[in-house]
Amino acid sequence: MNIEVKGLSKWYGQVIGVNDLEFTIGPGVTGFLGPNGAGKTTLLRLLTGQLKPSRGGISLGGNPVWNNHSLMRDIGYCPENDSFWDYLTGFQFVTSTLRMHGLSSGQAEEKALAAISEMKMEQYRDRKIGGYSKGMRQRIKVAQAVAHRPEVLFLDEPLNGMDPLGRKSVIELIRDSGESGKTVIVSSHVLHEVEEMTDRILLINHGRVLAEGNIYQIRKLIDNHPLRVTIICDRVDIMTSRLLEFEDVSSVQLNREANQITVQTRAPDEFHRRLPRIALDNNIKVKSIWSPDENLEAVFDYLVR
Amino acid sequence: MGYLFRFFLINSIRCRRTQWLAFLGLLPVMFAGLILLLKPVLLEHGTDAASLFPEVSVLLYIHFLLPLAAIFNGTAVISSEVEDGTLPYLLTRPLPRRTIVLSKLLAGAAVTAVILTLSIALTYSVMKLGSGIGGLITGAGDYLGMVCILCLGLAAYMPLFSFTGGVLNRPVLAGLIFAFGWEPAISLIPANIRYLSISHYLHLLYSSLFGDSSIGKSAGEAILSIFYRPEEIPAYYAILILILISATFTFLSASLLRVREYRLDKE
Repeated sequence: MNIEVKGLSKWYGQVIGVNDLEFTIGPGVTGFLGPNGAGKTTLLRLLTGQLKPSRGGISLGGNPVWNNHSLMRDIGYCPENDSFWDYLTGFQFVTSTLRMHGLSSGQAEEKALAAISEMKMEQYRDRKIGGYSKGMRQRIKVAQAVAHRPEVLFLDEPLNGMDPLGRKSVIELIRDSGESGKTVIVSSHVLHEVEEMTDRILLINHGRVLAEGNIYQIRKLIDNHPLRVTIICDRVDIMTSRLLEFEDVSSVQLNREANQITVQTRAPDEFHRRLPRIALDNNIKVKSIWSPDENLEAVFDYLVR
Repeated sequence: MGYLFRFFLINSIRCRRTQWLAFLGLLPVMFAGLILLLKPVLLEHGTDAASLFPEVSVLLYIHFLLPLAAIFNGTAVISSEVEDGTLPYLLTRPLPRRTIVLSKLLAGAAVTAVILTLSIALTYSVMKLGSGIGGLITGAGDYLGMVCILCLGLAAYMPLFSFTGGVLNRPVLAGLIFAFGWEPAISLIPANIRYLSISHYLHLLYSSLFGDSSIGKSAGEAILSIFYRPEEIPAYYAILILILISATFTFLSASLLRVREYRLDKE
């Protein structure tokens, strides 16, 4: 099922949520990637008919989304916010949401059990959600979104706070759904999370789509951006002189007292490959390496510039 | 709608608001017990606890518990789902948005009606304790009449507060101002503005069932009524107007989710 977005804008008073978006998404998995506050949740809430567009339109399989409750039969939605009817058990929660889809009690229980088992939550199903850990709450949220086998699945930061087992289950489920021809949209602010699920992404920031397409093309854009790397090691003078021999290193800041070097490189991947060899050859002990720019916000700042 | 109503019914029973309301429902019962203890004093004044039931119930139920219960359960119909962040689970189901509001409104009204009916049944029983089984049976008409007035009042107040809960940011405060500020205040104004109050119509029904009573009115109202007696409408008009208020605000609050969108508090 195709999702078509035409000239979509959403604003709250003076605040712009999303601005003049235009894209079409077909079957398979698509990642909405952007830092916190980029407009991903607003966009997902618009796509699921929870918010009314201020301008433009959204259609799912050619049907408008806003105020179209029958369309919800084909939609599964996992919200970002950690909210539940806490007095329900996980099983009751998933069963209730299925009953709201018009399923009989028997059908709802059967499908709820299947979804819960898919999320590896069988042993916790009769425990109240109020007593669940963050990871378990995330998993039960995903279970309610997929339990009725929707054609279109919207997952808002599904891996947030999830344990490794849960992450594995959710990633597998997302991939399988995409491969079986369903339209899956996953939002995240973590690049490698999205990379694990799909190679097709929409980069979103400040309510706009900055880039759209294959993740490797966008990765290339990201990899080309000058990156600062901070290294704490002994023999900082030798390390500095060796690093300056390379063309991609545009600047080096040295802090002898802290044994710290901050390097700016135009080829981060190559730089990281080269660094262990330099340390080994010169008998330099590296205590730590980190990059102050390696967060998505910095990457987005670079892309916007 | 059947399942959704049951879902919200259980939801209403489990929520803390209902537990508080059940506790508040015991206050009139305790008050009735106090009146019973004052039996000797009442007898000196030529009356007894049993005969005071209509006056006590109008004061404690029509003017206190009914509007308070309707404010807490009515304003929560839409706003609690928004505040608790559970609205997305409802809006992303193939359910007409009107059905969501109507089911929750009905479930909330049902739970409130049960609490009020049980509370007034206990109050009635306590006040009639001295009259024996015979007294309980002969006065049952008073009890049933009061229950009918309360149900009509609830049918009018609940949708009104459900609507305010969907459009205002501080609906409980607005409800308290309306029920305990506006309604008593306008009853003191000697003009037809009192028709803009639900409690006025409930009063009319009360008067037609139990006769006029100064206890049922506020002190100011009682004094004013000596000088000014507005032309009153018949009881069936009052019933019609209450039904009209109920239908109008039920329609309006049921339409809210279709025309209005909600940003979640936790967003």
